[in-house]
Amino acid sequence: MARKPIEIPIGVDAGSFEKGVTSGIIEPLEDAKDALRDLAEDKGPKKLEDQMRDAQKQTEQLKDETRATADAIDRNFKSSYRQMKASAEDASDGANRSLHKVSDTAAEASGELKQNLGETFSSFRGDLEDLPQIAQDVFGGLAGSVGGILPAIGLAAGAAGIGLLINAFNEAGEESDEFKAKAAELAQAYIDAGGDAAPAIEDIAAAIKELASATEDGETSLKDLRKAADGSKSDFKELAQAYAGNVEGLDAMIAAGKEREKQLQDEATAYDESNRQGERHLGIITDELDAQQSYNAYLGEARQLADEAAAAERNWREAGGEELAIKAQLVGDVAAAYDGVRDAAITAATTEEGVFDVNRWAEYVENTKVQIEQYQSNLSQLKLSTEQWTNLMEMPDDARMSIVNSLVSGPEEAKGKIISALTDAGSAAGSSAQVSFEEGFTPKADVTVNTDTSESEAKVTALTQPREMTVKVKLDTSELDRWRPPTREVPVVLVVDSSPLSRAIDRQDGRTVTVNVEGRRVGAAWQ
Amino acid sequence: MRISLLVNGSPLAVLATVMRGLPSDVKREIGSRTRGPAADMWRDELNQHVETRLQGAVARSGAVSVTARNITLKAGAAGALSSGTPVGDILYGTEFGMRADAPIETVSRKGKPYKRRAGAAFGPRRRSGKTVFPAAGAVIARIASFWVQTAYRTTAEKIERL
Repeated sequence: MARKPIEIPIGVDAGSFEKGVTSGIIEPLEDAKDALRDLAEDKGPKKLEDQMRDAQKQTEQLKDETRATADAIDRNFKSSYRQMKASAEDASDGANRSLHKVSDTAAEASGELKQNLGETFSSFRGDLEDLPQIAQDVFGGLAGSVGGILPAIGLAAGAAGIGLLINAFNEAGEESDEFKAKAAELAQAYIDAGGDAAPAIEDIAAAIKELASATEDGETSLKDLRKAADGSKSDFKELAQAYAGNVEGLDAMIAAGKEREKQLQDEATAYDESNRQGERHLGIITDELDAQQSYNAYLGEARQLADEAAAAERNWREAGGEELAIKAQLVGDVAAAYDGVRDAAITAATTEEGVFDVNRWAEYVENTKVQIEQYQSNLSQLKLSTEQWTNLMEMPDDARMSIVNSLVSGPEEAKGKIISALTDAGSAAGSSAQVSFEEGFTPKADVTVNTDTSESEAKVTALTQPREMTVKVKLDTSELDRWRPPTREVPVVLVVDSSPLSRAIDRQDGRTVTVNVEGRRVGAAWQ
Repeated sequence: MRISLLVNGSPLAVLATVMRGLPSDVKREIGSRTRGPAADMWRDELNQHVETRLQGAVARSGAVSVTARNITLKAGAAGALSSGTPVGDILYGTEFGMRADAPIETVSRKGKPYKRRAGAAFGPRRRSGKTVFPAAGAVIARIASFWVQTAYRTTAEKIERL
C-alpha cells in the first residue's frame, strides 16, 4: 500500500518555460549570460538567496497567474505542434516522390546484383582480402546511390559469409578476449599434461561441457558449432571436439573443409539461372557455403588455439617454469623441515634418564637451523637441468640436503660425480660441477601434439569397473588378554578450607540449640 | 514555496535560458556537482523538522534528483522502519497527521477484517505538512541559489569565459 513518495520540484513551471521558449512564445533573455554573471558573481550567495526568496514570495502571490500562463503556453505549444505537423503533410508529395526514387534504385540494384554475383564468385578465392573487392564488384557504383555503406556491408556479408566477416574482423583487430581466455585454458591443459603430450581427455571433456553451457553473446557455444556443422553437412562431433582442444586429425579436417568450400564455390559460380534443370537453387548453395565457411573458420580458430597453447607451453618450459616449480617445492620443504627440527631436538635433548636439558635443546635447534639455512641458500645458487632437478627431487630428504651442500661447497671432483649421478643414463652428462640451465636444457625445436585417447579410455574403463574385495583379519589377542593394569599408589594431599566451617562453629559456640524431634507413627507401632 | 520561472525576472528563468545553450557535457557536470551538496542541504533541513520517531524515518528517506531543467526534492521513496514497514506506507500519515479516531482498515491474525482507530500514532492533522513541506519551504531558496552558483562556476571553468 505504499503510496508514491513526496516529490517537490523547486521550479514550478520549468517544463512550460522550456516549451514556451522552444515554440517562440517566450522571448528568451537576450543577455542571459550577463544576467547569470550578475546573479552568481556580482550579487554573492547571500543576495542571490534573498532574490530566490523574493521569487518564492512572488510565485506564491501570483500563483493563479503563473498557473494560467503555464497552461496557455502548454496549449499554445500543442497547437503550434499541430501546425508543424500539417506543414509537414503539405510537403508529403515531395516525400513520396523521393520514396519512389529510392525503390527504383533498389530494383536497379537487385538486377545488377544478380548479374554481378556469378562473376564475383568466379573471382573469389576465399581470401579475406577480397571482401572489399567483392563489395566493389557487386555494387559497382550502386552502393552510393542506394544510400550509404551499411547496406553494402549487409549484402557483402550475405554473399561472402557471415563467418568470414567475423573472422576478418578478428584478424584485422586484436584477438577477442574470449579467444585469449580459451588459449590460456588450453595452454594450462598442455602444461598439466607435461611436455609434448596433448591435453588429457578430461580437459577436452571439460571444454566441451563449457561450450555446452555457454550462453553469453559473442561466446561460441555448442549450438553455434552445431549450426555450422549441420548447415555445411559436416560432422558436428569432430568439430566440437576439435574446438575443445582435440588436435587429432585437425589438419586433415581443415584440408577437407577447405576442399568442400572450394567445391561449393565452384558450384555457385557454375550456376546458370536460365538453365537450372537438376541443379540446386542458388540460395541453397550459398547457405551451405556460408555454413561451410563458418565451419572452416571454427576449425581455423581451433588450430590457432592449439598452436598458441602449444607455444605457451613451450615458452613456459623454456622460461624455466618447470625448474622454478621444483625449486619452489624444495624451498617449501625447508619450511616443513624447521618443524621437524624442533621435534628432533626434543628427542636429542632428552637424556637416557628421561631428563630434558633445555640448553642442549636450544643448542641443537640453533645448529640445525644453520644447516637448513645453508641448504636453503645452496638451493637458490644451484643450477641444474630440468631432468637433474627432477632426479634430485626424487631423493629422500636427508640425502637431498647433503647432496645440495656438497654440490655447492664440496670439492670439484665430487661435484662432477654427483652431477653425472643425477643425470639419467644416455643423456649427455654434465661433467662440470655447475651445469647452468641454459647449457643443460635443450628444448625441443618443435612440439608435435598427438592425442591418442584409446589408451586412457581403456584405463578409465578398467578403473571404473565395479570390484569386490574381502579382507580377512586375524588378531592374536593372547598378549592383550594377559595384560593387567599395574597397581599404582598415588599419595593424595587433600587441602580443605575449613575456615567457613570453623566460623560457623564459633558462631554456635556457647549457644543452646534446640532440636525438635517429632515422631510419627507410620503403619507400624511406634518404636 | 516553489519558484516560478514565469514571474518577472525569476533567477531560475535566467538559469534555464543559459542552460538551453550549454553543451550536454557541461550540463551533466553542473548536475553532478549540484546533486551531492543539494542532497546534504535537503537532509539537513529535513532533520531539523523532526519531532517524532516516524518523522525521523521520513527524514532519513530524503533524496534529491537533478536534471538540466529542474531539481526535485524527494522523501519517502526508499527506506523502512525497523519493523520492515516501508517508509512510503507511513509517509502521508506522518507528514499531514491523522485524526485519532480515523479508522484504519486492518485484517486480524485470523483473517477477519476490522477497523481500528489511528490513535496518537501520527498526531493531529496539519494540512501544511509537518516535516517534508516545511523543510522544502525553508531550503528551496538556498538550493536554487546554490544551483545557479554551481552552474555559473562550472560553466566558467569548463568554457573559461561565458
